Amino acid sequence: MRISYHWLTTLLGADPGLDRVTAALTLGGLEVEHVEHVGAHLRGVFVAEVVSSRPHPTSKNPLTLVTVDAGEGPAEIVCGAANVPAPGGKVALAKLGATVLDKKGVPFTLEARPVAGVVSAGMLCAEDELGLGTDHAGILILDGSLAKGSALAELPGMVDALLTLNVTPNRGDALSHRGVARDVAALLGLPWNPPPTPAPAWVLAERTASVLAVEVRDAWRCPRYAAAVVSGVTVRPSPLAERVRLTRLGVRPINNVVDVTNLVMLETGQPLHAFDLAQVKGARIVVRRAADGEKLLTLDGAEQTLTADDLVIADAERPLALAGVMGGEHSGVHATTRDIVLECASFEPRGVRRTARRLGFHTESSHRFERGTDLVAVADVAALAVAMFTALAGGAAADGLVDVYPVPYAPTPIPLRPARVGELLGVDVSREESVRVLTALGCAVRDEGGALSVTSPAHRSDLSREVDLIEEVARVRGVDQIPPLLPPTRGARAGATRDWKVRRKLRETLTALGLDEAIHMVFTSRDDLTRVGLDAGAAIRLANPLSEERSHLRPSLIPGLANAAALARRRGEHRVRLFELGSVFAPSTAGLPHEETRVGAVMAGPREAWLQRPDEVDLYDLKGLVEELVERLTNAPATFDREGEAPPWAHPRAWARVRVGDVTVGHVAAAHPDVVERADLVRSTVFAELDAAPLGVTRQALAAKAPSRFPSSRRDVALLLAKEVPAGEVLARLRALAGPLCESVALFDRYLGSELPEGHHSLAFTLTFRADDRTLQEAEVDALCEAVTRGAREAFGAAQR
Amino acid sequence: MVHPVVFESVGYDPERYTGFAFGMGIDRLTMLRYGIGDIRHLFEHDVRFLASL
Repeated sequence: MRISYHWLTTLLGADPGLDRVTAALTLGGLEVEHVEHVGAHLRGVFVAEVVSSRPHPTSKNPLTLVTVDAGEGPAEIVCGAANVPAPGGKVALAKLGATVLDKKGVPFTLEARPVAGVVSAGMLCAEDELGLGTDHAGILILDGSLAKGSALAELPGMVDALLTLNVTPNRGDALSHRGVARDVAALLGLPWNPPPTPAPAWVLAERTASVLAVEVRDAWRCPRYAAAVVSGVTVRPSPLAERVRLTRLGVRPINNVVDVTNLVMLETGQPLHAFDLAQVKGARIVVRRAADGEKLLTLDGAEQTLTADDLVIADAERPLALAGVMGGEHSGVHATTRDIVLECASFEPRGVRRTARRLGFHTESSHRFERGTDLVAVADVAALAVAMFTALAGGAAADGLVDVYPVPYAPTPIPLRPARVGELLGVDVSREESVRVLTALGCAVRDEGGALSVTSPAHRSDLSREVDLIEEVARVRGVDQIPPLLPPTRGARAGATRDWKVRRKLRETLTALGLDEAIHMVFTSRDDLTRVGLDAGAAIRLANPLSEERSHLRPSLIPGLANAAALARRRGEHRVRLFELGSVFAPSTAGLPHEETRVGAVMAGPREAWLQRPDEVDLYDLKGLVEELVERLTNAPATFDREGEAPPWAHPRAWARVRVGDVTVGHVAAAHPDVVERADLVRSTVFAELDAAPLGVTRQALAAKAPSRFPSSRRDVALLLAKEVPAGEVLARLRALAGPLCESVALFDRYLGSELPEGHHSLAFTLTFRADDRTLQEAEVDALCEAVTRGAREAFGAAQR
Repeated sequence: MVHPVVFESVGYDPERYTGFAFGMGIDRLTMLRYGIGDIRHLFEHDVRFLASL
């Protein structure tokens, strides 16, 4: 919202000082974003009277030599415009040394230089050269009543400061000069007396109701509709001061009728619209919903197709305007308009917003209606506009208004406990001060002892409960008047939670193992899920996603890690070692979705290698890393098997389930070939995804074991096994069979030879035996080893080689 | 300060309880601490960026 400081001081009847006003507004919640000083250059531009003029004697261009008097005697000016007035007319003379604007709006200083042989004593300026408008059709012709020799800067409001306010959506009342003036008065403790509504210059005997009928068919969407009729207007450009005011406040001057509607809107915040009465068929205004598919050509020249949710202002036959949004092309005020209908109405904010959004409009009118206008002020605003029409466009007003206002504004009074103000703000605020602030803002305050009874004014419909009033007291007194005070705090004993410590340990361990941490958003997309083989239909879809890229809650960490790995590949970075620790979500039958913490990892690209060609990583690299992680967190070994179902992102022949004790922790797998293809990964990509909860449980206390002083005996056992039998299972069985004297069992060789039966391989294990209290005998060890081999044969059908 | 409607909707009596709410973006503090010029780096997961920290 742009505010003219000059207009503001006129409304206030006082000039408190620009700096005071901007500081008070900013602290009071209407932030002044920018202050622009305008019109200072008009100090070098003077009202001059044309004395005589003659054509330039030598120039081939149509130049005129104009003799003017700007109070210092005649001076001759070279002028290129065709509209030099007859002697006695007043023009704007920029004297030498003055600053004016060139065609591109760039300021330059006038210097004495000959134009086709004649030295001009200055320049007769057009509007745009003075920065007062966009007109460049000819020089600016000033009002004949202005005194010659006075500087344009001395005219009221020509030198001004324009304040750009950032008005929050709850403060529709501050989208007007009167509203801001009211706030300034309250903030600075000045009296606020809105200017009295002037009377129209000429009122007809005829009642408005006898020349115009108004019917409101949707009182919810249009709680008040007032109309006035002004007859016999002359449509022409507005006077300079009005055009300058509008231009500076960002509104293009159109003609005196439209300009009045805009000026009144800028003053009061109430959007207005003027219709050409001749275009209102049947002299009848109907406020109704549009029919589905009904058409309206709006002022911007576009044909709109309406729906039954759109509110229109219609006549007896067709829609004339989109209520609160934009007028229609045919019913607007044109150069030939004689009689006008003024609309001054209230429209329901959400309805205006829906229509404006659907049709892509954001107008000065819709902006204000969406934020709420003053229902009570409608009649006064209409009267102000009518008086201004008769002053600027002539004509005569029909008597009175047609005012359809079935349910008058009657808000429920809000009780305000004076003591509560101090309780919430932490400072003592007297009862009188609360009353003063709220009264200054336009509230009606009744003080009958006990709680105050506060009625919010129609322009502040955002004030609906006690805290809203207390906020106003704090705002107007000044938030800076509340002393800063540190709240008392109690030292907390708890410190880091167990859960937090587990997360920290997971992060420390994984970074120590050479991985970097990735943190993705928990929102993912259908495409991200299907790329890694996950069922998007089973994931939780957001009811109102920010975008289709963020439409689902992630059910797994793998989609994010796959994306990161794919990005690394696209950027030419082959080595990927990433982990992520975060929440995943699954639907639940009752209440909120199920949320659990997982840790995921991805590895791809070459291994570390020294003086040799590096190999690509494979499943065993990540399996080793997972073993290490599980061991470090739980003090128990991870075990791997192929029970249950492989995750959808897993390679069907290269995956394992990870367990610790009898708890399933997750899975480790090479990426499925389809996932590699779809997600654009390198072939060697391997993933792991583990549930973080079991990793937070220490499963075994560490206990030292004194080493035996006696020597060990080693035996190697080679077994011929079917390839499907997992080596880990064989190892565990050998361990169990070998009994307590067996210190360790280790796999040390795998042999594949053509002489072996189809589908078989030979695995060789080293068994180490040792006792704590004696040296084992050869025979004893041989017997143990024999028992182990026999047992393995029975368990796996393994032959000893 | 916390709006009483918020207290009411989570079952606290706004007559008894008042509160302050405030927050800051830790990603912005991280940017200042480590001289990160563009916040998107934090969410893009370029492995070269991650390895630099």
